Amino acid sequence: MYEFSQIELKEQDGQLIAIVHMDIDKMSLITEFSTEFGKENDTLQHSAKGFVKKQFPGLKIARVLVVSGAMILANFPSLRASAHEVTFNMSYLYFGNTNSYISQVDKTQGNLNQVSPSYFDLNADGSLKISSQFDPAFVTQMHARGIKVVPFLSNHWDRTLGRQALSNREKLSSQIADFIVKNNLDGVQVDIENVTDIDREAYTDLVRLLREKLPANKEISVAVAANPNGWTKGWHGSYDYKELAKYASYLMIMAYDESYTGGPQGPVASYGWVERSIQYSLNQGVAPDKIVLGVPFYGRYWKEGEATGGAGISNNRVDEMLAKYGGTVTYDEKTQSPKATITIKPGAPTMTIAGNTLTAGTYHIWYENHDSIKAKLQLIHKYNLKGSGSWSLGQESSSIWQSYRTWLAHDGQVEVSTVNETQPKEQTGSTAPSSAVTHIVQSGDTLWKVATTYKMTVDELKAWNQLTTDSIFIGQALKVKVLQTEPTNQQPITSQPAANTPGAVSAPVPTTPVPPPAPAPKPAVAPPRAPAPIVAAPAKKYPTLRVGSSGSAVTDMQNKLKKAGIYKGSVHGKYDTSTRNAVIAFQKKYKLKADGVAGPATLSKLDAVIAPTKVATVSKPATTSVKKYPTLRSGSKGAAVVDMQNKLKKNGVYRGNSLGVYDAATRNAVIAFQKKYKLKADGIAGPATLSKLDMVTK
Amino acid sequence: MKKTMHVFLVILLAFVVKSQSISAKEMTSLPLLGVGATVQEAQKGEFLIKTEGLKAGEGFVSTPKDLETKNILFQMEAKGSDVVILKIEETDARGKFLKEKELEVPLTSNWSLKQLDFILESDSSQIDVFVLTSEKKKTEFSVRNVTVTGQE
Repeated sequence: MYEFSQIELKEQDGQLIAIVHMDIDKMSLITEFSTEFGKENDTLQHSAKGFVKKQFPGLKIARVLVVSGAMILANFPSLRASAHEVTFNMSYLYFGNTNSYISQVDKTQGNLNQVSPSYFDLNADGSLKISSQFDPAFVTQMHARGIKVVPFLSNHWDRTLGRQALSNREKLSSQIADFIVKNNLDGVQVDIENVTDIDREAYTDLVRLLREKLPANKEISVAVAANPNGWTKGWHGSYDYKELAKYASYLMIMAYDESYTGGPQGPVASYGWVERSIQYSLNQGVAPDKIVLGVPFYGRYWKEGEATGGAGISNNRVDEMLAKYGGTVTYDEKTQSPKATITIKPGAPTMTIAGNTLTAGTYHIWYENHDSIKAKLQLIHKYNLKGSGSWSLGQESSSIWQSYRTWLAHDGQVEVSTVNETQPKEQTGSTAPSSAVTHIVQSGDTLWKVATTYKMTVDELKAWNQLTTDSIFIGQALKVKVLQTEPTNQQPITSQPAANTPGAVSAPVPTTPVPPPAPAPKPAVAPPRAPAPIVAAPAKKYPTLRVGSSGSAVTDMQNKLKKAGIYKGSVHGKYDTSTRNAVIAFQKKYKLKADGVAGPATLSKLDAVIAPTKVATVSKPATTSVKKYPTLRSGSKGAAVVDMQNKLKKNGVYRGNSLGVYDAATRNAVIAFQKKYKLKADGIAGPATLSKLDMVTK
Repeated sequence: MKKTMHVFLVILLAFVVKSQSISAKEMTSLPLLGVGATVQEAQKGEFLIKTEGLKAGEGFVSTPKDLETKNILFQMEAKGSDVVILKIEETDARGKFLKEKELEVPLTSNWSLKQLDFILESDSSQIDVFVLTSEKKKTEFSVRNVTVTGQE
C-alpha cells in the first residue's frame, strides 16, 4: 500500500484533475520508471484511486496524476469520471422578504447555487412590472455567498396576462434584459403558465428574444409543465420543449401537482409520474444536461368526510402537525410517497395552514419526506440530468439539507454516508404527539439562553439538534421542548393567507414556526437581571465560502486557518485549491463533514478553535438565578407590562403612562424598540425582546 | 280598461327588467388578442383583424371569465371576404384540454351575426373563443359586439 502526502485539484478543459503527491523516499517499492513498473503501477493506481475517493467522495474527477516533485509517476482516468454527480441546485423564493429569504438560503448549508425570487411580474399590457420584493441588497448578499440570482417572470396563472406578455414580447424582452444588466442579476426564468397550444410559437419566440438580448453570461431558463402523458393541447401544448431548449440554459420541469386542489386524493409527485415527465422531455429531444427536475417541498391534504380537498401544506408544517397531534406515516413503495394520517381530536388546539384553520377530524396528507425526495433525486442520476429545482424554499423540512448534497453527489453506486443524516422521526411510522417544537434563532440568542427558555439543559439542546459545537447562527431552526403552560383558550398558530394561483405558484404559504408561549410572569417579584452577556457569545452569522469565493470573509478565514496551523499559504482572500485543502484538513481534524466548503459549522468551529476564550461557555452560572421571560402582547396586563413600559420609557421609545395595559401605544413602542435593536418587529414582547430590553436598560 | 292597461304595463315592466338581467350576464368588451395577426380598433367597438398569412389558424383569441352556466353562446357580428372558423376550446382549471368545437362560416361585405353554442364539461373550466382563418393566406376581417353569453 502506498502513502500519499498531499492532494490538490486542478481544472483543465473544464475537467477536474486530482494531483496526488508522494514523497520520493516512500517509493521504495517502485523501480524508477522502467518497464518493470507495470504491475506496481496497477497497485499504485488502485491506491491512488482509493485515496482520491476518500478525500473527495462526491467530486467528479476526470484524471488522477500521481507525482513526486516534478515527476509524474502515473496518469490515469479516474473511475469516478463516469459517475454522474450533480452540482446544480436551484430553488424558488416566493413567500417572505429579503430577511427571511437570506435566512432560508443559509439553512440550506451551501446546497444551492441559484435562487429564483419572484421579482418579475407583468402589467396589464404585458410590459414588465418589477415586484415589490425586488431588493438589490438581497442580490449582493447572494453573490457574496456565490449564489446566482435569477428571478422568475410570472403571469400568476392569468391566461390573458400571459398572452399579453407574449403579444408584447419584443418590448418585454428588452425591458427584462435591461433590468438584469442594470441590476447585476444573473438571468431570468420564464414562468408563464396556463397559456395554451395556440401560444406555442409566441412562447418560444419570447425565449429566443431573451437569449438574443441578454449578454452571454446571463442565463435564460424556462419552467415547463410536467407532461407525463404527452398532451399537445391546452396548457401542456404551449411548451415546445425542443425549441425552447435551443435558446434556454435549461428547462425546469415542474414535476409536481399531479394531485391538486379539488382533485382526488394522491401524491403530489409520484415516482412513476415524475419519471414519465423526464422521459417525455428526453423523447422531445432535450439534452439531459438541459433538464432540471423540480421537486415539491409541499404536500396536499384531504379531510375525511369532506367532498373536496387537496389544499396545500408545507412539508415542515406536516412535521409540525405530526409532532403536535401524533399520527401515522405510511410510505407507499409504488409511488415512493409518504402519506400522513393525523387526527385532531375535538377540543385539541387548532392549527392554521395557509389561512385555513384545521378543525377536529382526520386528515390524509400526501407530502414529501427524506425518502421520497431522495428517490426523486436518484432520477436525476438515472437520466444524467443537470440538477434539481424546488418549489419553494422555506417549505421544506430543513433537516433534508444535511443529506441533499450526498444524495446528489453520487449516482447510487457509491454510498457516501452523511454526517448526521437524520430523517425526523415524525416522517416515518406512528408518532405520539411530541413535546418538541422549533425555535428559530434570533439575534441575541445563545445556546444557554435558548436552553433555559425552554427548560432544557445545554447538553440536552445540543443532543436534540445534533450540534457538535457551541455555536448557533441567526435563522437556525432548533428543536426545543414544548413548555407546559396553564390551559388556555385554543390558540391557533396563524399563518399568511394562501396564494391563490395554481401551477408553480400553487403551493401553500410556509410559516415560521411560532415558539410556544413562555410561562406566565410572576408579577409580585421583581425579576433578576439577565445573566451578563459574556456568559454566552451572541449568535454570529456565518457565510458559506467555497472554491471561487473571494473577499474579506475568505481573508479572515485564511488568517484563522493559519493561526490554527492548518493553512500555510499566503492570505490573499481567494478561495483557491490550497485554501480548500486546508479547509478539508481542518474539517477532518474536527470531525466535521469534509467537503471543503466552509459553511457556518466549519467557520464557527474555526472561531472556537482559535479563540477559545470568546467561545460561548454554556455552563450554568452557579450563583446567578435564571430569568424566565414571559411573552407579552396586545391585551396583556399586569406588573410585567408595567415593568416593560418603565424600561421602554427609559429607552426613550415609550412616552405613555406605565399603567400595566399592553395597548396600541405600548405595541408601537415595542415595535420601535425591536426595530432599533434589529429584533423581529412584530410588536410581541417575548424573551428575545425582554432580555434585550433588560440588557440595554441602565 | 284602465285596470287592464295597468296590468299590461306591469307585465311589460317586468319583461324589461328580466331582459336587462339576462343581458347583464353577457360578457361585453372582451379583449381580443391577435394570433399571428394584428387587432386594431377601427371605430369604437369595431375591430379590424389582419393576419400575417404564415399559416392557417390565424386570427384572434379571447378568454371570457366568470361564466355562470354550462350552456354558453359565442356570438358576434362580422364582415370580410373569406371563410373563417369560430372555435371554442375548454380546458379545466389546471389547464388540461377537455374539448373543443368549431364552425366554419363564410363572411361577406355586409355585417352579419355569427354564433356558436357550447356546453361546458365543468363549472370550473376555462374557455377560449377564437375566430381563425381556415387557409394559409393574408386575410382581413372585421368584428364587433363579440360576446359570450351564459344561457339559462
